[in-house]
Amino acid sequence: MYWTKEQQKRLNKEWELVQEYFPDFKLKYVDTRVCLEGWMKTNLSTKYLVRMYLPPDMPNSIPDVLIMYPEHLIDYHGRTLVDYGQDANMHLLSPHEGYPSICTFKPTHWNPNRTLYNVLIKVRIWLEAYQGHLVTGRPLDYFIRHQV
Amino acid sequence: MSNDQDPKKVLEEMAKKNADQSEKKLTFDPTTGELIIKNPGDASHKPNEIVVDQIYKDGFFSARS
Repeated sequence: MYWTKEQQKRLNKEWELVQEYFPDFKLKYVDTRVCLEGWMKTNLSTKYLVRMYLPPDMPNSIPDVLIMYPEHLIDYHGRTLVDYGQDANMHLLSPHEGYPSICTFKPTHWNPNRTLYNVLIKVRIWLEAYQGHLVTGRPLDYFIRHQV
Repeated sequence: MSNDQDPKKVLEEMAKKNADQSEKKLTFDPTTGELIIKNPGDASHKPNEIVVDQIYKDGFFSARS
C-alpha cells in the first residue's frame, strides 16, 4: 500500500497518541492492509482483541473496526453478533471477514480532524455497553446514544 | 474519593447519561483500561487520566438496514 508523505506524517502523530493511551496496540500489516490491533479490557476484566483497518485515503475515511476475539461473539440470548448483520440498536455494521464490525462514526460526522485515538475510545465505550447488554439483555443503544 | 469504576455503577451512569439524566463525567484511565465515572468537580487522580465525555456524547452511528 502506498502512503504519501503527508499520510506518513499523520500516521506517525496518530501512532504516538495511540501508544500513549492504548499501549497494548501494535501497528501491523494484514495482507497489504495496514491496521492497528490490540487488546482492550472492560471494567469486568473481559478481554477483546480489536483490529482497526486504516483506510487507504486516511484521514479522509472512517477506519473499519472488527472484534477478532473472542470468536463468535454472542448476545444475551445466545445469537451471534454476526447474525445481526447491520443493526442500529446494537450499533453494528455488516460483518467483515466473518467478524462483527462496530459502528463508530456516522460518515457525515467524520472529518479529517478525527483521530484514530477518537475511534479507539469509541470502541472502548462500545465494549462496555456490550458488557452491559450481556448482563442486562438491553440493546446497546440503552447505554450509548445514536449519532444524530 | 468520589470516583467510581464499579462495572455495574458505570453502566448505570452510562444509561442515565444516554437519557440525559446524569451530569457525571465518563473518564478513561489508560493505565488500567477502565472507564470511570466522576462528579463534575472531581480532579484527576492520575496524570494521564482523560475525560471522554465529549466522545461519549458525540454518539455512535446507527446504520439502518
